[in-house]
Amino acid sequence: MSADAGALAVAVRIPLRARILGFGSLFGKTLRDSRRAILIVGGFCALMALISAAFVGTTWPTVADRAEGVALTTTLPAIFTGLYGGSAVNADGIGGFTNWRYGLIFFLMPGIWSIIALSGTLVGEVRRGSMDLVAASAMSRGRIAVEKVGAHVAAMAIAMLIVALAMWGSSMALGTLPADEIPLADALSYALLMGLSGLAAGGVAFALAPFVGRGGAGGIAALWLVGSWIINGYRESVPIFETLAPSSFFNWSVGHRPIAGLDDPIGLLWPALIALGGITIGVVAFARRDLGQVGALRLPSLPGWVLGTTGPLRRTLGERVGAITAWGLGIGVYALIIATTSQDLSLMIEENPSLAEIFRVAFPNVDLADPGFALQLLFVQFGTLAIGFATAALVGGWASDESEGRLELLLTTPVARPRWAILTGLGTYVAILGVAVIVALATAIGVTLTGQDALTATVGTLVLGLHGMAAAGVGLAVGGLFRPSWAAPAVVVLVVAWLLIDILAPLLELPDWVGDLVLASHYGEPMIGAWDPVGVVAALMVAVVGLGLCAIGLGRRDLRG
Amino acid sequence: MAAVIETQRLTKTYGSHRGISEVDLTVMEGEAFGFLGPNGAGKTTTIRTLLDHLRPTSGRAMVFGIDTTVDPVAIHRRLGYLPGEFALYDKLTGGQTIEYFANLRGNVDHAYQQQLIERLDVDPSRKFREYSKGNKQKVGLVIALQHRPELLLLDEPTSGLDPLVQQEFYAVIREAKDEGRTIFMSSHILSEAERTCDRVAIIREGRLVRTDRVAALRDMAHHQVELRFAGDAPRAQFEGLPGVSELHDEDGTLTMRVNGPITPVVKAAAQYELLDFVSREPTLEETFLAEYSPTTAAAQAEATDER
Repeated sequence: MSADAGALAVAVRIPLRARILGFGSLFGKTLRDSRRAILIVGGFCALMALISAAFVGTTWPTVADRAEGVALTTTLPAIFTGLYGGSAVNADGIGGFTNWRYGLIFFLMPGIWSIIALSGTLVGEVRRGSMDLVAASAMSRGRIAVEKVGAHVAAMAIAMLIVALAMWGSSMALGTLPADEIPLADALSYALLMGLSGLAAGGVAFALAPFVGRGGAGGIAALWLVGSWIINGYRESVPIFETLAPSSFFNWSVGHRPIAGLDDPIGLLWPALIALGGITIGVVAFARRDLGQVGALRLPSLPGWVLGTTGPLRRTLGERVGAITAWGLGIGVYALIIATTSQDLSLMIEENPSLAEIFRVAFPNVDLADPGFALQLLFVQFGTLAIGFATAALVGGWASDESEGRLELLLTTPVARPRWAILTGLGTYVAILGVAVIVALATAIGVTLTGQDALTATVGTLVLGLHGMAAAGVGLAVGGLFRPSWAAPAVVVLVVAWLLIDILAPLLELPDWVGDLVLASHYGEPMIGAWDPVGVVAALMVAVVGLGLCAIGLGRRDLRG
Repeated sequence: MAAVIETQRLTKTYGSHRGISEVDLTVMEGEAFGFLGPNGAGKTTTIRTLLDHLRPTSGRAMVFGIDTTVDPVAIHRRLGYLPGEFALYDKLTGGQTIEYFANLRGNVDHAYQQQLIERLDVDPSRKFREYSKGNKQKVGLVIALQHRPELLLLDEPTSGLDPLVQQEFYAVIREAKDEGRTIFMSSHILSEAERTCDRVAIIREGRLVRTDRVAALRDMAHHQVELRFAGDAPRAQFEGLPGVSELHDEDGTLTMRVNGPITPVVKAAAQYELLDFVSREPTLEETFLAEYSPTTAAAQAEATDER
């Protein structure tokens, strides 16, 4: 009997084609499912490396120019450098500048990816019920867990390889000074650190997920990741953070930034150990516990009046209360920090006459000591980008009513499809405004703490709501006219396109009309009370027309079930 | 009695994929109508077209005399629907979910709603995501029934329900029918339609192949007859009899399939000394499968081609 089984096992060979396509093993299938994330994370980080190299090479082509650039990085207020992870190191070369300017993206983006992937790779499948089928196959649970985590590690390695090649290639192609060259070994070592740091955050989520559920594990790991970054970045300017610095895992590897000329391979050890430890705990927990036994953080249930059961608009809003609060607080904390430290920026500018002159030319009739000026300069670009992603999440929630099949039943009630689209679309707009209101409150608190008048900056912050509504209008139109699953990606594409145009148009000296495509460039300076009605009207028009197209589209096409 | 549902050459295709083709249906007021067919036959596509969730490629569908594409809201106001598979809000409890739908509809009798919740043994305090498949189905049933609709569209309604709740469900349906409401119920379980419906339609590969009263479906039934004779089996006496086919003779025993009335076979057998007479009537389920399984369909198509 066992001999027969052995013969059968030998006889069953998985075709090469199936292996290549990712259907030959759990590892292959998981890696196949990660291909989009590999392209997004690897591609975006690689693009940032390319943009950074192009910026340094074209803006500061000579040694003298480079010195001017370095001087700018050292005179920036602590609020700025803290966000970038601390003071710039060897910023006179592409590698040093790239590490300083884009470190936030390079270290947080892989971490967030890893948290999302590893918190859900087993628990998510258990929740969906598909794990019952997988675990009933001829594989031990330990092996299932190892193959799935292994696939994520492989995906991370591929993405980081793309980044390393981009760093190395762009420095070779776009560098203008000897200091610009990033050796391939350094690029690989830096990408390894990025990947290991990401896996460390993911490993924490993976270890916690069986005990506190996917959401709880992801939240705790994300808090640790972002908290570590902030503590390490602001340790020089915030005394309490200096005390907390040993708890930041970015602090443990701060001596190893190979593309910036800092080489301390021991820095690789700590994230590697955390990743390995977290993954081991997760694998053992999955192998030993009952299948399907997933804990959850017990949060108090929201009352019915908050969840909203009186109609589509209230329900749309009620369903997104958590997202509104999370995004509002996330963006609001940054607004609060900028607002409270706005006086630092004023002092820095006053201490540098040439810089002060530049700003006086750029912002005539503006009091550089106004906190609104700091918010306009340091917050609005980040804020519009962040509200764009918040909008994508909220529009994705709106689309899920149809893509997850809820409309199948909801639209058998006496509510016409266009009316449904308008009410739920308005609910989405109100949700976006809710995020903006929380940010505005944070701004008001921050400015008030400086002892200045908060009204202008607080009202100005509402520009984020306007911007988000415009982006949502595009997403709703796409979702209504074509298919719901395209709505959130349409918003993401739009937001990323706006960001890239904003960065690349001046760099590549593209025609003015290209830069004009960025809606945020038409709002004026709302933080200092100088609103441009053209941008305001344009944003409102996009929101209204988008909602109208959504209603027409949903009214005309088949419902997707 | 007026027609509540009427479709004329109703066709829906999804690009190159088959949906339904030229479906002609009429369901009368107060009727319980079963819509039968194997998985993927087009039952759900038909129902979704009746609801205006899908727009016909050609043909038309009328519900309450209203074209489904012209005023679906007027139709929805008067019907209750339970999809075969559905999702609702995970964050809401079952009770909040039922309440939300009651608010969307308006004029729901809360006493009747409560009665349904109790009869179907729904725990309204649990979050929707915590329900089993059967309990989700029960919440869906309350949503479909709570406003006492004139027409009930039920897509495989007992899927996932335990036998006790199934009995309660059948009782609720009977009551609805007794109150004069119309029921259109899809199923692939023939016995379910047999106990609930007055008429059934059978759909296969997107085409309606038969519409009839449940009792008439029994005419499709045949008898499997086995005759054991004291002497040699008189095979020739049975070969020409009406409805007899698949005749086999072995060791004095004749086996045959008899379609239609069995009387001629009984009369012929009575002329001989019999040791045993066995006649077995297959269940409607077996008959349905034999008649409408893909292999039978292929054989029928082949026979048609040969003709």
